[in-house]
Amino acid sequence: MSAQMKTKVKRSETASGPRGTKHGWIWTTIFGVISLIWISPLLIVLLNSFKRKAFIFKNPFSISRYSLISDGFEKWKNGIEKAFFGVQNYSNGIQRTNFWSAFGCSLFITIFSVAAILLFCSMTAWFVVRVHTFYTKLFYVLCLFSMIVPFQMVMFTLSKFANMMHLGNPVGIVIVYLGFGAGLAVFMFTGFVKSISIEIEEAAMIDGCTPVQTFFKVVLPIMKPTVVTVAILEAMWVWNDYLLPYLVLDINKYKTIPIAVQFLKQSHGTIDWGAMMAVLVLAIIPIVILYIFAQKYIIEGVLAGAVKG
Amino acid sequence: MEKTIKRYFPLFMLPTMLAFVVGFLAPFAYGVFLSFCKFTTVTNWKWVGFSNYLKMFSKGADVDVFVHALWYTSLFTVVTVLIINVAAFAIAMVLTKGIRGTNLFRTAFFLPNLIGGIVLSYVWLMLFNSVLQNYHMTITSTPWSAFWGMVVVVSWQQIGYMMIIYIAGIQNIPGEMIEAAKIDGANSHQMLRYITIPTLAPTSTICTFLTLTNGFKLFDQNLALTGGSPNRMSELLALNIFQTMYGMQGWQGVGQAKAVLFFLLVAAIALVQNKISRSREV
Amino acid sequence: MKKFLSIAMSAAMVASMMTTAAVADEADDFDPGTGKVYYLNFKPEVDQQWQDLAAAYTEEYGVEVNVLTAASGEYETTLQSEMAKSNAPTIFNCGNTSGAETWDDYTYDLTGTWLDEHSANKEFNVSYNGKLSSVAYCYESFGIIYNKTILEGYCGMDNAVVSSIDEINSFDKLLEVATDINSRIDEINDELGTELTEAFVGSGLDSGNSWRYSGHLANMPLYYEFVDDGIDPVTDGEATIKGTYLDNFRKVWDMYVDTSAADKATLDSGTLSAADEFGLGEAVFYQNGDWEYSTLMNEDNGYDLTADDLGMMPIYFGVDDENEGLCSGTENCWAINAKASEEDIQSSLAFLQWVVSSDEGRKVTNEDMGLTMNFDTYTGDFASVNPFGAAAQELVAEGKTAVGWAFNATPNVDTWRQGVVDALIAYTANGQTDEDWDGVVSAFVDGWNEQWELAHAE
Repeated sequence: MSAQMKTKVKRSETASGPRGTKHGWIWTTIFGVISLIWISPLLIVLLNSFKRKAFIFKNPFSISRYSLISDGFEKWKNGIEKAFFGVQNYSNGIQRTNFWSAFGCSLFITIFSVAAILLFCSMTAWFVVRVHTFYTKLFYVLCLFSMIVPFQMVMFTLSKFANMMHLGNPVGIVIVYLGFGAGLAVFMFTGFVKSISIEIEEAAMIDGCTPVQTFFKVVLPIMKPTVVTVAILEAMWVWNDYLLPYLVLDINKYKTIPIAVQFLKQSHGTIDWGAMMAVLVLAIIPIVILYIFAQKYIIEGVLAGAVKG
Repeated sequence: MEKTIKRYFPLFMLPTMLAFVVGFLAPFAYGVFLSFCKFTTVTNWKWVGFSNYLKMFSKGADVDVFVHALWYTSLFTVVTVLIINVAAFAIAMVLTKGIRGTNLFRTAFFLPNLIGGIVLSYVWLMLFNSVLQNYHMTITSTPWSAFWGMVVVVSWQQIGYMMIIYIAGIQNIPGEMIEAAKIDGANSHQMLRYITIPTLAPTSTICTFLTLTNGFKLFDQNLALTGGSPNRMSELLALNIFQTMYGMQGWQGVGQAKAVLFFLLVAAIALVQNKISRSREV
Repeated sequence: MKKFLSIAMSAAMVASMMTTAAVADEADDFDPGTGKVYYLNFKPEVDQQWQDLAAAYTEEYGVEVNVLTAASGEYETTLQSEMAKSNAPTIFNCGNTSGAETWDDYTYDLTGTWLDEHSANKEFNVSYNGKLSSVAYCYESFGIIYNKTILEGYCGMDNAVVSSIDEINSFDKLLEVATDINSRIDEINDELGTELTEAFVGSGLDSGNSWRYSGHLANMPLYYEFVDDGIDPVTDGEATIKGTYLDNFRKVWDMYVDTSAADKATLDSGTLSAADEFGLGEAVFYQNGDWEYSTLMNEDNGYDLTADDLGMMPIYFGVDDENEGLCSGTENCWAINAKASEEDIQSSLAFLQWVVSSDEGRKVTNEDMGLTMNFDTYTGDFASVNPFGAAAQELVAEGKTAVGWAFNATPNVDTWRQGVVDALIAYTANGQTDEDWDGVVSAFVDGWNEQWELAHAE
């Protein structure tokens, strides 16, 4: 058994390839340039989050409304001074969206929804793959369906059901997310469970493990990289999701960040872009941290599995 | 073994299934029901039978626009599925080679996902139009400039997302398989052809399915980037449904019926796709 | 008929001056009721003020008041979602006849209620199916905002077309002035030390700006046509329109784009930012409404304007320029949920009565929210503080006709407007030819007739 496990979980050579692969520095240079271009639209958001509203849409790509070359240095500098708003957009945005309370709400919902999705859906996915009945197949197909349905079709009925069952609070919405997010998670987990060879599990069960023990002691460790990947994807979805929580939550009491941000838009189309961009910049930080942390974990997870095996 | 596991149904299946019924199945079934009704709110409906489905093809429904949206969306989906998957796979390959700065690059590619579609679409709108302005054009000058504009934005946002899944898949490739191939003297091209691609089949099934459904369901970017201009000729299906629901007084039910039809269509395509690619898996 | 609105408005103003005493008396036997109040608010920018009012009311009368504010552009979605819930809103916004038609099952007949009786200009209220479906609580005015300082500076120049702003009193004069300013930008900048680049701001036809033209400018030909046909220009609308005044529409639109620096081929690019061009003193004229005042005055935005810089004139349309005032109307109308319990309905009516008659309510709505309220209780200290709103009232007091919001009758609003915008884009980008203008006429007239049939067919 252990040999087989090693085969399965040993970190692949492609992944661990030694530093300085052939022509490594060429790749590094190429990807450095591509990465910079890739994130340039985000850098524009960052740049404009420090500018006064008047200059955001008028001169989105520059720091002054005057040109250094044709208008001269003095004018150019004057333009910068007029446009630069310091961190005022940030403090306005934080204050007007009640950012920290929205942040807490988003954090709570994301953590618990993702935890619930990971736990229950990985179990379900394993069950669906290993137990071949009509019902498991049907459930799997329904999961696929849930990913296809346009949200507009179910949004009003969903908000009605959630209201009927009193799920309009941060705890209740976790159940809604588990239900609505189950499709993607079950789909991804089944894809990966299928590649786990059944002999390992059979061996564990012969050794006296119950299905629960088998799942948590054998299957889950093997799936760790997948779990982390699904965690990132689901966390990103829940963190950024707008319309679902907007319609389900009692938004007078609980606003997530994407909902709070919407209130920087006024009727008649006036939008406080400065504050909005500032808040968006703040909102992506937790997910970036999660990602950087999780990224290490993907590799460590694989290694840990190998050592244990 | 199957029998033993089966007994644990309440633990393994029930919680997910219950939530699934509340969060999806019941609202979905109710939604299908409403497609046979005329309604203002979900509790204030009147049964009208198939008339919503018939109205969908009546003169006022702009059948031409709907049909155009149908094939325009299909084409859009095919193009984005191809571009996103090829690019995400290629990037994932390079970023699992262990080159210097790998973590930084992965993060960079992943970043565009982190801000919702609408704001970034506005930023892209600025970018596109400030370039196109020099040629007295805008992104919505023709349905095709709008098409490629959306392809660029959507690819940009989703490549990083799919890259993560591909990386997870690549790292699941058994090391010994690669060792063995190396000992047998396989070159890198052969490794890719005979080891990497076949073992990544489940991963690519997932990614193809996701990009497929994302393509068909695309809404935010469509609304923010083109709004359907020019003359509703860059309207994707989801926006078309939305316009029917909100642009037409008393047509809520028709929009709902369109959504059901759309669902059936995509479900059929997705099931076929899933069947085909699953059969390729090892 | 044309005079109708103006008379109604000034009559309301006179009436309002006399009823102040009466209000104070009524406050004594004020009955807050025993139900609950749930208000679905339509304007995100005044959310906090409503929350404060609700809290103050609960404290004073012990009635539970819940205010939920819909996010911008999400009102219809929110209303649909909330109305289906067990604790549905008791007060919601229902701004025009088609809204009243859609929500007919839910609108409580407000005829004879306190709100109805004290409504200053009843023309703004919405009736449908024999009911008074909703009562307008405030109204807004739009016209052409101009930079008074720059325009006065221009008038003082030697070879200016006019020597004072008052002389701009017709479309022809406005066109002359705008054209002249636009052709002498550098000269004016040298003389006045301004940074003008154009006379009119760029007329963006992107989704964030096009409503000013497909909605507000399009109001002018609709209004004059309805007046000609002798129907109520605000609420009724017509099943078929002829587009009698579309030539005037074209002239005004041509003026907007011909005297602007914006590239005509790319008006839909979304890169134009009219408020910023005007705020930074790059343009003199800007068609918009009184709601824009707070944006232009907000120091944080980086604009160079002071209150003295701002003025608003009617959108002179070449039809009845002598008598034309600003366009005043509203989509802000309170409706009461007929499906709510009787206690909740009575409590909701009482809450609204308190908002528009108590000192605190009047102060908040008038000063903090900056609304021009439509009740006869807003007199003396509570007269509108919005200078554009005041300008609208002033013009009416001078005997001008406030132009009603005829576009409130537009069938399938978004669909119809999009058709007009698409045609306008094509017309402007392709050299403003007669042939392309026929496309606009068709989108305007045929589009209207078609959508009307669709919206009102059973």
